[in-house]
Amino acid sequence: MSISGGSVLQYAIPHCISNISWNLYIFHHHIDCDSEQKNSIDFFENGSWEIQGEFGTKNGREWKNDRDKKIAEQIQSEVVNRDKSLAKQEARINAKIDNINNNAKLSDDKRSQQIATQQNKLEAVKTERNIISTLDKGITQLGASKTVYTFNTVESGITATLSSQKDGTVIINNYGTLGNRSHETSHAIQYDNHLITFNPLGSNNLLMRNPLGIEIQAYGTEYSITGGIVPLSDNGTPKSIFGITPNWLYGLKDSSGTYLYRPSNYK
Amino acid sequence: MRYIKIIVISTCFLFSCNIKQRAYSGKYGIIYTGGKYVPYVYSLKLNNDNTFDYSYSSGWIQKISNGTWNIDSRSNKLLLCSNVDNVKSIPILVVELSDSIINSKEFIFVNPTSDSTLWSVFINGTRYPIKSDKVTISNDIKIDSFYIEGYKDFTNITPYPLQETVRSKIHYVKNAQNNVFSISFPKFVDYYIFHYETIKDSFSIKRNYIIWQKGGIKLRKLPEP
Repeated sequence: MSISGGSVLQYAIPHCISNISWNLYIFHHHIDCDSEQKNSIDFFENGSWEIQGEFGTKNGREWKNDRDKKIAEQIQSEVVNRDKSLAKQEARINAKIDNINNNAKLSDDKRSQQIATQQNKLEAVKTERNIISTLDKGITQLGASKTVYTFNTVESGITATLSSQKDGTVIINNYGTLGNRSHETSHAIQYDNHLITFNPLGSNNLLMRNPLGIEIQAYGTEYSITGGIVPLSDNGTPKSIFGITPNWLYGLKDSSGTYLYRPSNYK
Repeated sequence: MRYIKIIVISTCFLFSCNIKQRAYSGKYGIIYTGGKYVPYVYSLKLNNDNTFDYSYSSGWIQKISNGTWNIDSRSNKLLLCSNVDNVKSIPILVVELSDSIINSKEFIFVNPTSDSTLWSVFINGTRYPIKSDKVTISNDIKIDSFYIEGYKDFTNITPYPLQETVRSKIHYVKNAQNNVFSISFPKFVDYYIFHYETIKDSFSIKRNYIIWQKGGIKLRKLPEP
């Protein structure tokens, strides 16, 4: 749409509606739905005005707002950095395997043993790369989804997990750290993939097909993106991505000593 | 004259107490973003009308509460008293009517959760599941008392509930001739009732923080939005 007219422009700013997208440009200045409800411009005394704009139903390819898009891009940028670091680790391990293979002084047993150790490390690095690649693709999927997603850094309130609004908007509540943000984003991806649902929509009650598996995947993402920064568990510190297990999860607790992932706690 | 003095002094005392109380109202909280423990968030809002709203969330655990607050001026402690004293004895509002047109007894229930919670009315100890927010029984059944029970199956649902079953106080029928009973819970009962934690305790309070646990967590006063 493009229209033009005389010296005074009057316009109304539509409300922000989650499933409607619109862009309004007045002389190339973008007016967004969060802007002040100023509805007239009269500074074109000697000239004319021109508006270019478009309205449409959100059919994907958008986050709820620019801030969400920026956060999504920040996480994806961290994925790129972390993947570079993991690729270097992978190259170093492969070089070590070559060295071990070429070391004529080693006995066959010793060589097999050392190669097995390096192979385990290699598997762990490859797994982490797969996990963050899944996160990266998942974020792109969320941006293109028909569901509207938005990030909310928790200040204080009733929930610090994924929650929903009655209009279907999904809020990725998080503590603002890279690890936690990635963790909660992976739950949003699980929601988009129908692995979890809200019960009912509008709440933060999540119905999960496989709660432990869902949570291990999210903590695995947190571990992989941060280079191994995860909370302390009574059941040991993970030495690799393969240490994020149900047993490790059972040992997680809050500052008051309450275990947070054990159904037996409340029964 | 003496009475007027007493009234004036009492009014001033109450007014100054009210001002003192107001100084403590506001939002308190702490957000632990992670590291040694799983991240958690506490939130306590002391409203100007002496009501409070509390929430705690971490991992799969969520607790909420609401009620009234006061400051004990002698000990300078914050006193919190939840609206629900016992989740197995929640207050209910019942309106009883006699309707000669219908030839049955009807229980009309205002569902506070609108989710998969299974609500039942227990009449003289017998369970009647509430379907479509209504239960109809024969007029021949004599009703002395009844209560409402809610059950939600939390299998594979997070956050965890603190209880899977909640129950109302027992209502004793006022008039044996009444045959229509409209039942509802107070406004503070919603689907978070399964996460409800009863708080009836005193806490050290300063102008800028509350000590929430023994030797532990400080809930700091948050700036007004």
